[in-house]
Amino acid sequence: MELHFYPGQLLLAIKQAGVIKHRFSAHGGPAKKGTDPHMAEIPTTAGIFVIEKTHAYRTGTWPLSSIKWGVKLRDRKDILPKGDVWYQLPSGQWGSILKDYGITRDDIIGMYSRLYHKNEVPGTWVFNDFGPIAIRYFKDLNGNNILDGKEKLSGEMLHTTPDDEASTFFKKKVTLTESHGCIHIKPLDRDFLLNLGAFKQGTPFIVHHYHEKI
Amino acid sequence: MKFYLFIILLSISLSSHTYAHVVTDKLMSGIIESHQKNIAYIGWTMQGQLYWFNSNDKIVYQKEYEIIRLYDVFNSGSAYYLLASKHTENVADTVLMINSSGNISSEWRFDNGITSMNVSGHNATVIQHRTLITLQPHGKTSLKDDSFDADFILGDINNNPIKCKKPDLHKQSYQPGICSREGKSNWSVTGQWRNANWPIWCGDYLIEKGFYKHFSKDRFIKVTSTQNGEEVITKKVHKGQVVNCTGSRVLYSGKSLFLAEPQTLKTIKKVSVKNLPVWSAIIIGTAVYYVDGIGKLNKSIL
Repeated sequence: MELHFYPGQLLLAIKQAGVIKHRFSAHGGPAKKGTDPHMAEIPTTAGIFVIEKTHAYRTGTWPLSSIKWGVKLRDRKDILPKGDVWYQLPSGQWGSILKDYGITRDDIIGMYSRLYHKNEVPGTWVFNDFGPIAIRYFKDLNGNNILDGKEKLSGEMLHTTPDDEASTFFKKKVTLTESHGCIHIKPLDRDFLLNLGAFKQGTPFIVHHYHEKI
Repeated sequence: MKFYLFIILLSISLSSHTYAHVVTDKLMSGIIESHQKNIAYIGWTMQGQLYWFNSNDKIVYQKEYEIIRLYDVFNSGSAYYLLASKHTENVADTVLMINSSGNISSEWRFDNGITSMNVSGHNATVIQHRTLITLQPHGKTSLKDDSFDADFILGDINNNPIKCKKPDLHKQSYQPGICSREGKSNWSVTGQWRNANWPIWCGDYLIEKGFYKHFSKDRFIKVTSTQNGEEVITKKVHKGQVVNCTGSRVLYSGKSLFLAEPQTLKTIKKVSVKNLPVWSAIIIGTAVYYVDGIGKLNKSIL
């Protein structure tokens, strides 16, 4: 099984024995470098890669992605002056989102209300920009299908977005948006591909050039 | 010789370093200078108590207001405005105007909550979801701008407000916070502040408190010139936050409370603080008053 991404056609495909078996919508970065001053959008890098793993991703580059998707939250509206939200640390202890990340309880309720139409603190963190899991891949320089030596995970990855997760929750149509260079996929497609075994370690992943067509 | 050198260095060190004592056993949340004769300052609690102190640090009188929570107190020169929640927990929905005796002279209710409040001279305004509203006497309001392009007013120069917008933290639509002044001497400064820590305006400078460099947990104080929008200095400060701008100087806390020049953040005086962080601080004459992390009101002579 091979995974192919055609960024010019916004298409992700599963090939088996050289035949296209499944097609999915997917949206990469722009064909030319963008203008976001914080982090410019870039074309998704073409090449032959190998899927390494899926995991809940976190990064300090984006404030809402500083906390992994699904981390347990505790509403502390009792804390003065305007409440706080605590998040569970890997140790099991609780940390303050306000103190650690400067994100207020009002911010969290506002974001949850926008996505899920409820004026409350959610039970878990559902605002990570990379969704519940990110699918990571690497360029296999020595051809042994294992991440080793000087090889490293690509900073580009396949993932969903919080907006698309919420739309899927409400069974609404998902319209994928352009990424900063990653590959946006739909939550239900992610689940299907996951069950199919397309994201298993070692699966070849080919990112085509923008002009290439299926 | 070494001994004398040590004594000299110790005296230099002590001359810029002062210690504080606790003024009252009442716990406070904030402190504000008074405009009243014989009253030096007012201390307040989030539960709605106000205490009027004279220049000898004695409580002259006190009042308690029927509110759920008090968020801030503003001095308009002739009255005080209390930003509070009276109807909804955790949401500022009421403004009370009180006179010098502490009696309520006007009250405004905002059922959908208040984003921020600004008092400039005798003018008080609130922003409610990008709508700018002026507070009028007798609990009345007038709409000033129903598509006000800001979340917060940092200050006002000749009726020309310095407007600030909160950041958009989402990756797909990320926008940093921005403060700008329109008109003749216009300027614009973007920064890394979040809703929990708005910058403050200090003369020719905008000062970000608790600045998160590249979204790390490190805290910084960052000073930007409002003349040209350029960064003047960034200083890493342990648990740092700016608490006040006093004329041409800034009070910020790190491991201690520092009085500094905004343009260099060079320490003029350092006050040891037992319980960090400092929540509120003012300077009256040669004394600095501050509310510490456990609500104690401290005084230190500079």
